[in-house]
Amino acid sequence: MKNRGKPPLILPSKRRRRQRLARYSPHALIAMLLVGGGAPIAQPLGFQWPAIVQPASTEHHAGKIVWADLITPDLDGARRFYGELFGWTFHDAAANEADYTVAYVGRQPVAGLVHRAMPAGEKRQPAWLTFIAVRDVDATRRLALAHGAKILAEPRNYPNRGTQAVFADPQGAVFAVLASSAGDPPDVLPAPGKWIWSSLITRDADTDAAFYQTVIGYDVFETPGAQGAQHLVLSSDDFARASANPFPANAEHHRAHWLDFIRVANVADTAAKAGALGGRVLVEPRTDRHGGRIAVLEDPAGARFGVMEWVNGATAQGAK
Amino acid sequence: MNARPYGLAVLSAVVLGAGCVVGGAGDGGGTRYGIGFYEPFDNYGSWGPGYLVGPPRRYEGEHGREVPDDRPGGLPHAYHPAPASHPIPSLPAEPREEEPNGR
Repeated sequence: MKNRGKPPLILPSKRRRRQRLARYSPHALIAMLLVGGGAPIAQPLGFQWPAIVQPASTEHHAGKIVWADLITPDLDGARRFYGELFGWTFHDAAANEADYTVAYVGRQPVAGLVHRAMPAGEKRQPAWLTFIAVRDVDATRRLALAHGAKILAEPRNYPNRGTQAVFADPQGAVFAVLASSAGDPPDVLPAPGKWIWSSLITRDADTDAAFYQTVIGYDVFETPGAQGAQHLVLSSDDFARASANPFPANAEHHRAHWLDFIRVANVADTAAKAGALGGRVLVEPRTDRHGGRIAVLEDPAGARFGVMEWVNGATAQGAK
Repeated sequence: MNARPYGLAVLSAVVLGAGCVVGGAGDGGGTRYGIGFYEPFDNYGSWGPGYLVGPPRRYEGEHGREVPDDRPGGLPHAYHPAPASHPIPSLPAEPREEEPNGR
C-alpha cells in the first residue's frame, strides 16, 4: 500500500541535527551506528514483506508448497490478468517502491508479484517461483548444496515473512524454501483461486525425487498405471504435496521447472477466459489422475501456471 | 581534541554504508531474487493420455499397492520408496467451516 494516512516525514534542519549529535560522545555514535546497522540496513526505507499467513498461526508443515512469487516485467499487466482470471485483489507491499504486490483471495494472501525489468531486446520468459516450507533454511542450504543444488539467493531473513533462500536443483529447476515466521497455511483443501498442487517437470524424475526426499524430507510414492510415464508423488504429513514427472516424450529439450496449479471451478472456462485476456493455452484441458480436469496456461508476459478442478467428495468417492 | 574517536565513527559509517550497498542493491533492493528470466519455450510439449501430473484420489492404494523395484529401464530407484503398506496420500479435505487461512 502506498504511504497513505501516514504523517509526512520531516527531516530536522542541518543545524538541529548538528546540535543533537553534539550531545553524544563519539563512542555513543559508533554504538548507535552499529546497533542501527543490524537487520534493517539491507531493507529499503519503508519496505515491508507481508506474512504469508494472516493472522499468524503456530502451524508448520515442512514440505508443503506454501507460496509462489511471480517475477514479471509487467506488474500492471499481471494484476489485470490474474485479477480478472481468479478474482485476486492486490495490495502493494512497499511504501516507497511499487515493485512487490501481494495478491489476495478474500483476506488471505496467496501470492506475490515482483516487478523486474527485462533488458530491451531480450526474448525471455518470466516465471512463477515455488516456495517449499522448511523448518531451518540454513540446514536446508547445507543439504541442498551437498547434493548438487546451486544457490541463487542466499538465506535471508525478512521481517514478517521469515527466512528464505532460492536454489536450482541438480537438474536446474528453480525453487525457493521458506521458514515462515508467521507459520504455514493449514492443511485444508484450498478454495478456488488458491494454489492446490505443484508438479516438478524434470529430465530424470527418479533422481530429482531423491534430491527432494533428502533435502526436504518427502516420502516418495510411485503411482501405478501411468502407461510407462513415471509419476511420482512427494508427500509430507500424510498429504500429497507435489508430483515429479519426466518431460513429456516430445519435449526433452525443455528445462526442468516447477509448475504450480491454481484451483478453479471449471478448467475449460478458465482456459477460454485466459485466452481472451491475452494469455495462451499450453496444454488443453484434459482429465488427469484425480478425475478432474487440468490445463497449463501462460500469462500475457509468458509465465506458465496450471489450473485444476478438484471435486473433493464426488471425485474421490466415485473413483474408489 | 582527540580526533581518533571521530575517525572511528567515520570509518564505521563508511563500513556500514558499504554493507547497505551489498545487502540492498546487491540483490536488487531486497525484492529481487537474483534469478533471471528464462529462455522461452516455443513448444510446451504435447501431454499424451498417459502423462499424468495430478494428485492421487483419496483412497488410492488404500488396500495395498505395488512398489516397483526399479525405475523404467531397470535401474534401481534413486529414492527410497514409501512402504507398500502405506496408501498413497491425497490432498487435505475441505475445511468444515470457512477456511481461516490456506494456500
